[in-house]
Amino acid sequence: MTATATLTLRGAARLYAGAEAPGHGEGGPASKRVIVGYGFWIFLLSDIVMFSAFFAAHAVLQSATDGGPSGGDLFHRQAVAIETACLLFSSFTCGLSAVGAEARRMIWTQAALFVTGLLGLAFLLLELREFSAMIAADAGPQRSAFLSSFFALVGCHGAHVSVGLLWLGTMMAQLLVKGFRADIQRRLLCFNLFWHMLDIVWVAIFTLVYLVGGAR
Amino acid sequence: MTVRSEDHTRLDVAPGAMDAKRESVREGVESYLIGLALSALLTAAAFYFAQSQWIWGPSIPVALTVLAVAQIGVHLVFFLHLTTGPDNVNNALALAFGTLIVALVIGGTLWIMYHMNMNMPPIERMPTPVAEVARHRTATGVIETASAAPVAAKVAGVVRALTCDVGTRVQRGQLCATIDAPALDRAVAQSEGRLRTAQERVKHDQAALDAAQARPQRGAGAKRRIETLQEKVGRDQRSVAPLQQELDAAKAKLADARIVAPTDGVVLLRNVEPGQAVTPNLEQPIFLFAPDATTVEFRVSLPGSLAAALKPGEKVVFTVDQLQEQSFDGEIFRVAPAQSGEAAEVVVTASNPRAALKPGMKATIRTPAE
Repeated sequence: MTATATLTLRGAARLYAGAEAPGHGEGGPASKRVIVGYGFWIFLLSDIVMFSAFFAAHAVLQSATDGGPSGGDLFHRQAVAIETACLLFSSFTCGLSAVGAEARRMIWTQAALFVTGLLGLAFLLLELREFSAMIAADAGPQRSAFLSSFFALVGCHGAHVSVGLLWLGTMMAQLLVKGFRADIQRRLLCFNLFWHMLDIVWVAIFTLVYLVGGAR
Repeated sequence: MTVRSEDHTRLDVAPGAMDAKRESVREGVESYLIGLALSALLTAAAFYFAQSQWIWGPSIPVALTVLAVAQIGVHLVFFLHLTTGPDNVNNALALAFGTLIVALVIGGTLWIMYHMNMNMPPIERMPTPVAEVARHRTATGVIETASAAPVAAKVAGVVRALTCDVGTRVQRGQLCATIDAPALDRAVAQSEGRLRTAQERVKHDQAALDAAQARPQRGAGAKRRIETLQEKVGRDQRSVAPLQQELDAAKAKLADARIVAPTDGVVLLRNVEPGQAVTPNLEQPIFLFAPDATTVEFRVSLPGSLAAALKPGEKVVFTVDQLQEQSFDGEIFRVAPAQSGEAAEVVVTASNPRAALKPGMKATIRTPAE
């Protein structure tokens, strides 16, 4: 009697594992790494949806300069190209850090993260220099609706980069102290996603704001 | 509950992770290198095309957008390792949903705002330009049903004709009484007399001038005489215009002898009889009018210097906060003079036929600031 019951339970469990039961994919519940990564992916997509609102506002207000300077008067293509290069290479080195973490190579991972941070910092400093030059030239966010939306959108991206740099610093410290533990690996994965997302948003910014908007 | 090894490809994979694919370090680095190279190429192309003459100008934004979308695709595939494989279904579906929302937000915004811009008047025809606000002063009062309006004589005289009695329904501007005001008539008569004298003088001197010019002119004496006459005619003609204005003003003053209803409504009180002498004194009104329910009023305080520029009967436009800043036409009803430098009270009335204005609403008038 007991044996039969156990057997039935085992059968049910096997059926459960193989069938598409709610909450469990094929082959059983997903690993924590997948769940954490997926959750963070959803967050990033929602962040992009938020960015899209800023993009929409900027697209609508791009020519609302109120007689003030337009994008063509303000943007320096060369500076934007350098910023873009910084962010693209930092995205690349960030990817290298992921490969290093996968291979559990401490020096490689740390070095890649460090270069990522340096490039991110360079990007941020260039952007701050651009902002302060604009504000000094009486083209601050109060000047026109165009500039309000510009500072809101690009500033929001810059704030994301700043937060990302802080996160990067703490990840380097955590990696150093705690090593390649499973939770640290998950955090590194999330950081990687975040940093790549920043570059994707920047692609849209340099194209729509600086290149298309700079032609006005 | 064991997972067979061949099931590995059917497991989900975390976005951005490559572990399930069991890529080697070399393969991993290669993927990022390819992504970097493609992205750099697409970025360079975007910066190049943005300022090149190679493609038709208006199509540049489209070309740049295509390049950006391509680069985002490269990022997704080579940096985020998003594939169309079965292990990536959840990730790709989430991405597709995110893309849908982004498209709705941006596309919807552009679409709606484009149509709104099409339906907007040009900016120079928009009401309330910012620059103009600065040159105006606003004053706000609370709307209430109009109170009874006393009307006093504006001129001393004797009431001659009375056409309104207690209970008479009147319309705004309707004549209720006429005052025999000898002072006004006298002023008109005097002005007329002065004007006529001046005109006759012009005629007389002109005739003398014509006669002098008609005579054969001999010697310097005759020439000087003509010049003197010409000067005299010019002086005479210049004196006519002010006298004409004086007469017009005196005639306009005659309107003060007509007592008219200030609002639509009913006569509440009558304090005069025909033949009675009246004086201009607001303390002793000769009529009291009860305005219709469709008339409202509000009181605003203005500095005496500004209130002095407002005359009863003058039209004012006011806005009402609660009605989306909608504009209404009103009329200055009374200006209580400022007492020793304090603010003057200005009463504004407005007809309210559709009862849109309700007691308690806040009305704001704008007056030119000095």
